[in-house]
Order: sequence, then structure tokens, then C-alpha cells
Amino acid sequence: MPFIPTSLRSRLIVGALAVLATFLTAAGIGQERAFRAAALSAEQDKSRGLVFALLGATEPSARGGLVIGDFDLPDPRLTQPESGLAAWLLTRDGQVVWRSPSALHAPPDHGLGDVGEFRFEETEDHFLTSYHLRWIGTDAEARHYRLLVETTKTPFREQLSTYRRQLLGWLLAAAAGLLLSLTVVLGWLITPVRRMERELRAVERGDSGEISGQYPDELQPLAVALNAMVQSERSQQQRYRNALGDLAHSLKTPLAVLDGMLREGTTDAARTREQVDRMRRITEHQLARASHAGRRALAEPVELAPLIGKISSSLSKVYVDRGTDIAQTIEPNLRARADEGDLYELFGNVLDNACKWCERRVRLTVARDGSMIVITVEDDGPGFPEDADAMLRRGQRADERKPGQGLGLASVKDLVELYEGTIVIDRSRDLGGARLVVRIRA
Amino acid sequence: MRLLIIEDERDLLDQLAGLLGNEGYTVEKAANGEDGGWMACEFALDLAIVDLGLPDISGVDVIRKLRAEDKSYPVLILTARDGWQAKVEALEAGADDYVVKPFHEEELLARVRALLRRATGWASSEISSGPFTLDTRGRSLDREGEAIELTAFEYKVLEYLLLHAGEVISKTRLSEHIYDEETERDSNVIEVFVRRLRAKLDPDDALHPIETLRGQGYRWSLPRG
Repeated sequence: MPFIPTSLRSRLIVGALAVLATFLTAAGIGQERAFRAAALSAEQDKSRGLVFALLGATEPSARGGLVIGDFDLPDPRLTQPESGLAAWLLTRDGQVVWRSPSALHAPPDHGLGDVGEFRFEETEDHFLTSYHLRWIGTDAEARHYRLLVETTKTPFREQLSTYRRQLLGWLLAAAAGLLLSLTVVLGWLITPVRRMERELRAVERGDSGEISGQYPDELQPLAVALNAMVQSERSQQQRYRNALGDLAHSLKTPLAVLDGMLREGTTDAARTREQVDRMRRITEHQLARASHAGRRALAEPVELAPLIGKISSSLSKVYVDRGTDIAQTIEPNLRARADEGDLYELFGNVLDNACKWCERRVRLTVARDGSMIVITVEDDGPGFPEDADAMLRRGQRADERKPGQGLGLASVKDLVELYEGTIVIDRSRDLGGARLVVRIRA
Repeated sequence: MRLLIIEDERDLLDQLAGLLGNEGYTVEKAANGEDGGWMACEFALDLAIVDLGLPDISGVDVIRKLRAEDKSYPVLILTARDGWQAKVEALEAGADDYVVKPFHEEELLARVRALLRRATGWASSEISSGPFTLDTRGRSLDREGEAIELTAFEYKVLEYLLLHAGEVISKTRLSEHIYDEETERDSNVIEVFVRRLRAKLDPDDALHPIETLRGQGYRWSLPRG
């Protein structure tokens, strides 16, 4: 099973290890190659120097050729057998004219270059360097010679392996240093995250009300958003509690009335019906109030034109008998940061209300004004009654003939309160009927 | 007029069926989306009432299914108070109107009557043709102001023919829309009802409001007006 790091810390450490391993290996290989190339070039220079020194030691032989005097050798190692350095002077056909006292074996195979040219070769255990020379002796005859120098590779190898050991040591030390500093930096980086985690747990346990303190720039928005979420969660709970409390409280009266009627033995259907209706309105209203999501910091922006389009086409269908004409003017690309369900409730209720009361025409205008969204609904109906404000009170109906009237607007009012907005009710100048101006922060 | 109610709350289902049955409609009941969806596609219906909050298949899916099957009868949805999103979705899927739960019985009946009228092209709840006026709210018939007494079944046959005035209605179709699934259908009974209706509506045999087209069925022959 592959190891999958779960924490940020182990992710970073595993990542750093992988990067370090790759880079240090590459650096090590590169360094080693460069060092070897430099050492090899130094070896060539040394061999070449030796060749020149040997050439300086050559002298004409009695037979008109060349020899090298054994007493005039440039490097003492040439006189000692098994010293690791040997030299030969060969004719073109490979006959040995001279050999250094250290050269106990036959000269190794080695090609012949052009006149005046060095040839350098690396074999298993040795470096071979040869120089092709042409010598015109006293008999005016040109003779070709080859001066061959064989150097053992042992010191070169030792040098190389020493270097490798040192290199490895340094690289490992560097890696350890890097990892150590990374761990320290990591600890420093992760501290605010850990702190946030602790604070969040404290909020969860109820020990703390919110995430407090200053966080780095990257985490500050997260802290703010988390606080907003905690806040909205809490206010939602508060709303549920309030709704339940209100529900229980407001059901007491009709229940008491019914109870009283039962005790008296009254079976007045109309009075019973009245109380039941009252209880139903209360229940509807409180449940609707509790179910609204409300303003949230992280609400996804909802594009309004398609949403309103859907609602108004649905309503045109419902009110097809009247031939209701819903004219819409919506600012292009207008988006609201609000819960989609709440927006459906808001626009559904205000448009439905207008459609119920209009003669033929309904006009909807939606536009943004800074952080607020302004919704204006006008119709050509009879307009709001004098005590219009009462209609905004819970569950109140303006006209029993058009059911649901009061409640729809009470629900709108609750939503508007949740979104820190306002409602203004007046008369439409153009259409002559009601005008409702709703502003919400979204 | 044959109606289907799809509602998972047993009490409400029975209450609605009783209410609509008393109003003279033939009622089919389904307590879940599965059965309801099947009935909605297989039965000859004039209207369906669909609760959106069904436990198995959503009411919206039932509506989509029956519209996909080319069923064009009106659909009335029952929704919760805060259900605007679901309401809009259902209306887009092919529903025609909605009633918010809990509702007044009169409100539901008014919407059912309006949808049935709308589906057959009548504008008002009072349907008049020739000297006859059918009050679909009061379920009564009069001829030039004079009331004509009808039995429940006679009314059902007349209402169906009159709402579909000008259309040829076969005996099978008539019986399908008047009887529920459990009742044995007998086209002879339809003939009896039509004969009685003719005698009541047109005692002088002068107007011939109900035509018989041999081998095809019946047609309300007086102009809509």
C-alpha cells in the first residue's frame, strides 16, 4: 500500500525529501564527473611533460639512430622497477630501441598518430601517452620513432575515491541542514493553522464564542468566514428556538379558548373553526419563519434573471385566465449573495401577491444599489388598503376572498429582516395600483 | 369528470377523496408516487391532484412522466407553505396550478373547477349553450331560467358532454370518465342515461341537444355561448 501523507507537515517533508534526493544525486553525479575530467586532464599534462623531458634526454646513437641515456632520466621512478611509471622508445615497426629500467614487460599495444602528435589512451589500469617523432640523423635518413609512456592509474583512483567520500559527506551534511531548517520553518508556518484548529475546537466545545486573534494574510479570510458561519449557525438555531417558543406561546390562547368551549359543552362550529384557523395561521407563519436560511457569508451568488424568469413564467401559467402581463426590468448579470430558496420565497411571494391583486399588469424592476438589491413590484390593482402596515404583521389577511394574502407578505417581511433590508409600501404612479419596494442586503 | 389524487398522507387523501366525491367527481386514489405515476399514465383522467412531497417518487417526477406520455389533462399540485422553489419546479415540469397546504376546501374546489373549465375552453363557471345553463359550482341545470332536476349520474354525463361541446364522445370514453376503476362498466347504462337526459332536456323533441352518431358516440350539438 502506498504511503499517502495526510497532514500538511508530512506532505511537506515527504515532498522536500523527494526534491532533496533528486537534486543532491544530480549535483553529486555532476560534481564527480567534473572532478574526474579535471583530474584526467591534469594526468595528460603530466604525461606530456614527461614525454618532453624524455625527448630532451635523447641523444644520437652510434648507428645513426636515437637512444636515451639511462643516467639522464627526468623522473627517478623510471629507474625503479614496478614504480608504476615506464617508458619505451620504439621504431615505427614496434621494435624496442630503448626501455626505461622500470619497464620490465613488453610495451603495450598502442596506435601511432601523425608525426608530432600526442596520443592519449586510458586502459583498465594505466594511462598510455605516445608521441610520434621523426628524426633525421647524421646519415640524412629520416627515421620514425615512437616514445611511449605508461603511467599506473592507482594514484588517480585514490584521488578520485577520496574526493567522492568528501563529496558524499558534504552533500549529506547539506541535506541534513536543509531538512532541519525546513522542519523549523514548517513548525513556524504551521503554528497559526494549529492555533486555528485549537480555537475551532474550543468553539465546538462551547468554550469560546468565536475564532479570535490575528492570523496571517492567507488565513485571515478563512477565520472571518468561519466566524461568519459560526454566527449564522447560531442565529439559525436562535431562530428555531424563537420560532418554537413563539409557536408554543401563541398556540396557548386558541387552545385555551377551545378548552373552555369544551368545558362549557359549546359546539359552535363557527367559533371552533375560527380558533382552528387561527392555530393554522400561527403554525404556518412560525414554520415559514424558521425555515428561512438567512444571510450567509459564503452564500453562492445566484443569478437573478433566470430565477425570476422561472417564477414569472410559472405564475403566468397559474394566472392564465386573467391574461396577466408581468413586465420585468432586471439589471443585466445581476447576482445576489443569498440562499436560493430564500430568493424563491421572496420573489415568489411578492410576484404572487401582485398577480393576485392586479387587473392585468404587473411590473417588476430589480437593480443593485451598492450592497443592497432593490426590488420594486407594481400593479394596476386596487392598491394597498389604508392600514397597509398592518398587512405586514404576522398572518394578517387584508381580504378573506383572496386567501394567503397577508401571510405571503409576512413571510417577505421576515426574509427582509433576515437580509437586513427594508420594505416600503405605497402607490404606483404609473400603474395606479400597489407599489412594494423591497431592499435586501445580498 | 374523473380525478386522480396522489397524496401520501392517508387522512388527507381520504378527506380529499370524500370532498371531491361529494362534489360529483369520480375519484381515483394513490398513496404513493409509484402507483400514482402508473394511474396517471394509464387511466382516462380529466385532472390530477399531486402532492409534491411524496416519499418514494417526487411529485415533480410524476408530473414529468405523465407529460412525457402526452397526457394533457390539467395537474394541480399541493405544496408546503415555504415551497416556492419546488412549486416553480413543478409548474415548469407541467403542472397548471397550485394549492398551498393546509388549504380551505372551497379554495381547492374552486381551483379544480377552474382547471377543468380551462382545459375544455370555457371561461366561466356558468356554462351556457342554447337555452341551457349549467352551473358547475352549484351543480345545477336550468333551461331559460327554469331548473331541471338531474340525478348525480345524469349530471355527470351531461357535464362531460357539455364541457366537451362539439366533440364526438364515444360511449367507452364517456364511461371511462364517469366510472372509477372498480365499477363494472356497461355501455347500455350510458344509453339509458342519455335517453333520460334527452327526455328531461328536450321534452318536445325540438332542440336535439344530444346527437347520436352511429357507431361513433354522442355529441352536444348546440353552440357554445
